[in-house]
Amino acid sequence: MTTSSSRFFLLVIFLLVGFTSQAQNFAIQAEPDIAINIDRPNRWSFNFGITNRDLLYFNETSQFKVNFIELSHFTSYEVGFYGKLSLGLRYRFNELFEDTVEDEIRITQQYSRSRKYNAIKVAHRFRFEQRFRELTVYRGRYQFSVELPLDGERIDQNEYFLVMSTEALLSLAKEEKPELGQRFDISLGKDIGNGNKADIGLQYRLEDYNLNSFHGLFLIGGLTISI
Amino acid sequence: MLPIFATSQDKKIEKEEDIEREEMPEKAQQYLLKNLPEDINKLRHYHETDGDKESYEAKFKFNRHRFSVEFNEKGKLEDIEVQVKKKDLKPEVLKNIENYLGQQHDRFKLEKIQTQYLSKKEDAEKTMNRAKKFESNSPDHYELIVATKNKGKLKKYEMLFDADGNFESEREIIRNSYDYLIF
Repeated sequence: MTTSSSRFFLLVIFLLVGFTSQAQNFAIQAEPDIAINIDRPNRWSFNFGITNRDLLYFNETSQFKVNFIELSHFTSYEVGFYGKLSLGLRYRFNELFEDTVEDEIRITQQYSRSRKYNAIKVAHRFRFEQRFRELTVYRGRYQFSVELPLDGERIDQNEYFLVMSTEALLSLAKEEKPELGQRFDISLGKDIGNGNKADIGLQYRLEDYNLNSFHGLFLIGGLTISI
Repeated sequence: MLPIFATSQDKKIEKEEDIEREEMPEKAQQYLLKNLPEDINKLRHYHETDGDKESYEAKFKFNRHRFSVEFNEKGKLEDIEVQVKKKDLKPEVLKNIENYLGQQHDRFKLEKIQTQYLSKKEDAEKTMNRAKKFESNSPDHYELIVATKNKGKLKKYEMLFDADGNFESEREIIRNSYDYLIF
């Protein structure tokens, strides 16, 4: 990794931690995940994931509390030269860890497109979700992400890369006002061979900013295995 | 830019990395000092290996086009490639290329076009002069990155066409899954 990119990465982390930790209505959470991607020689691909969320800091105190464990699956079909249509199903186990929150089932319809322009890879993701929980919530999301190698013009084995993304979210539910949210991600990834990747990063979430804004910092990271 | 190529038998470790100009072979450094055009920007140097063969590359922008100057492991100039747009190709050359691709594949997309100037028999200085005048000079080859669709499945190839747009060879490019960006 070049010195200038690692400096930039550290700067962003310090700025994010510095700004957010002073404010109220703020939480720090961790969300590690493991994903397996299966790419078939035809137009189909399958993705399986397991993730969990832990609360680390809230109400100006450090703590450790497991929020949930989540299983997810996406089936995708290649469309056009750069697109993919996906259908996803998620199950979030909340009841095991919290008395007041019910388990959630989520169905996702997704269209994504990704293309490489010399060294930079750009991806767009459009999602429409139905979240079945105490109150059924319909959510539209758009994510824009950019990936760049930190050595040379492509990501070789054992090389690091940077991924930056932002996502806008709009949640709708019966008898509730629409809620707007925005997320910003930065993560450092490493190609650990055979298309498998490990990554660690930060995500800043500004939730419900049109009503009662709440913001949080997520420590994200995980392992992606490609078969 | 050389993408990751499919190797039919054993897997070779391919690596391409940023280097400083001083890390290039002396001969390549001398060539660049003497022959690089004046008004260039974004000059960067790379070292590349596929396990057997080593090479060095200098890449820069000149006249709003991306140039890529490739040397062998001893610093001898191999070729110069200039990235061009579809509209920069002669109509008859483009027609030949598109006719061939149309016959071979259900659908195709030209993702990247480079004109290639080989440095074989001529003075290395001459190769740079030919490359600089890429707008009026006919290259030795066209090197293309082509995305193809057959029965709906996407595959990418690096293809070589001659100066008239006749097909010469192709290699499939392994596409890495980008699922970690979208899930």
